[in-house]
Amino acid sequence: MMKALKDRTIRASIFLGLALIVAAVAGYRFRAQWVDEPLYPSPHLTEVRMLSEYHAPLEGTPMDTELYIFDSGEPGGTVLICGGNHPNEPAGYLAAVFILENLRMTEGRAIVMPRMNRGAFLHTESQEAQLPNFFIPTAHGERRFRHGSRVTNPVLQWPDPTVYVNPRGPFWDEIVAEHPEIAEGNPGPGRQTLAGVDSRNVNRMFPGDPRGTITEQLAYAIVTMIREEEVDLAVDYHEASPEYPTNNVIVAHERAADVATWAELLLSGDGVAISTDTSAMHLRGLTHREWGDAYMGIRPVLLEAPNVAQGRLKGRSTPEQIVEGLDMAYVRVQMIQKRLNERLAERARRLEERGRIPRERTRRILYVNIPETGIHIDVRVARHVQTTARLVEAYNDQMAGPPIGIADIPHYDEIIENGSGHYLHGPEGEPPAGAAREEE
Amino acid sequence: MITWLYVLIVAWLVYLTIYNLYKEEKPMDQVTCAMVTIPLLLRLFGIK
Ligand SMILES: [Zn+2]
Repeated sequence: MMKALKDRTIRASIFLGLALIVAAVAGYRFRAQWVDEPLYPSPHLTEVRMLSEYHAPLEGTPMDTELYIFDSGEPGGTVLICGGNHPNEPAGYLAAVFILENLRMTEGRAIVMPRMNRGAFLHTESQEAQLPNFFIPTAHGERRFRHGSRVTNPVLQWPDPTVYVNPRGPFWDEIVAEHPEIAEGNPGPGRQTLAGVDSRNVNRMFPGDPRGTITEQLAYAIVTMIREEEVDLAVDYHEASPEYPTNNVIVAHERAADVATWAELLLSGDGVAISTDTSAMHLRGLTHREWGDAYMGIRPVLLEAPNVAQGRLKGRSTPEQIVEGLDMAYVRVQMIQKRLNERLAERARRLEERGRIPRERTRRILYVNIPETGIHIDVRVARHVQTTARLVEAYNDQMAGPPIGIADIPHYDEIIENGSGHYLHGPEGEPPAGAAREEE
Repeated sequence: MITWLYVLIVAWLVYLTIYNLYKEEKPMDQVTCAMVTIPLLLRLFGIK
């Protein structure tokens, strides 16, 4: 009897010891994700500001994030360029870093926010065997970038509610009082019931809430910044899985629809096939919807590019999946889709021969074509960068607002030929902008 | 917002899990307790 108790106690201590070791190793690795990788802005950067300047309670929290300001010194409009709304969409983050490290403004100014939801960079998607980093070869060696989560780290905001209702925000009533036409067919922000996990997804809660959760406060701070800085054109970089219907697309607020369709036309001349979707009025809380409904001067758009690493049908997590966009599981799904559609077409033909109307001829599983060579992150970054350049051009062509002049952004073909890493910088010269935080 | 109450609940769960780890008789049940401790500790120390 005593011996059994003693054995059990010894065994428990061994198991507890092993658990503590695993917790320490995992904790150390997770904690490493809290350090910002350094970014190297172009020499034309004029100012770095923190988002908390627009909403003080964010100051000193892990949600506070840098705004990189490029002021040409010439009069003109303001363009806002955002990455890292969803840090599990690597080309969305990398495209914003790419712009940050190359941009020069010739008219007006740009605000670049590469890590919109910094709190979601601090961990990975749970239970997805997600790789925490990806690496891009540059002239200064390999650069490491974090591959974060779609939602804020739960240690910053928990527990999640069972059902999340997004906020109305403080701006809508004031906007409607001044511009009653905006409420036509538009129910206004918030009051939607969403999954509990979306309570940490910043792209479901704009215009935010100054007294809400830390993610809602982040959303509020961003909208306040947009209103105070009078942003004219905003581009928010994302990626989507191949089975998601909205892909290779510019999602535009109706005020930005003309600029987006004109940009689409210009992009067809670059060999970039993209389409324009209008932001739905009944899907609330998203950048392309709420930024436009919280400030009348802005033309907001959101860009999507195809990313196999965030898909539900993906195979084993590998670095190639993120960087080369290569996943044989998707190639196989595509073959299944092809065979399925051949069979459906054959059945439809036979039914038609007998004078009957077939119910379906094709069925889609994937909404993008996945070549066996993958969709490289350079292609996805080049798409975002080129689309941004053409959106600015379209905005200027249509005289949509005060002129915006951007320069030193390489063309789509050059990025594909040289790789995105060719245009990224390294520790030489200018001190890295993230250095101050790294020392903390 | 995260309050001290939530942190106290996690601390209580960590205590209960370790208490059961020593109380369980079958080795597999003890392993389960040990494994449950890992995410609870990461949450308690504000890591994940
Ligand atoms: Zn996204």
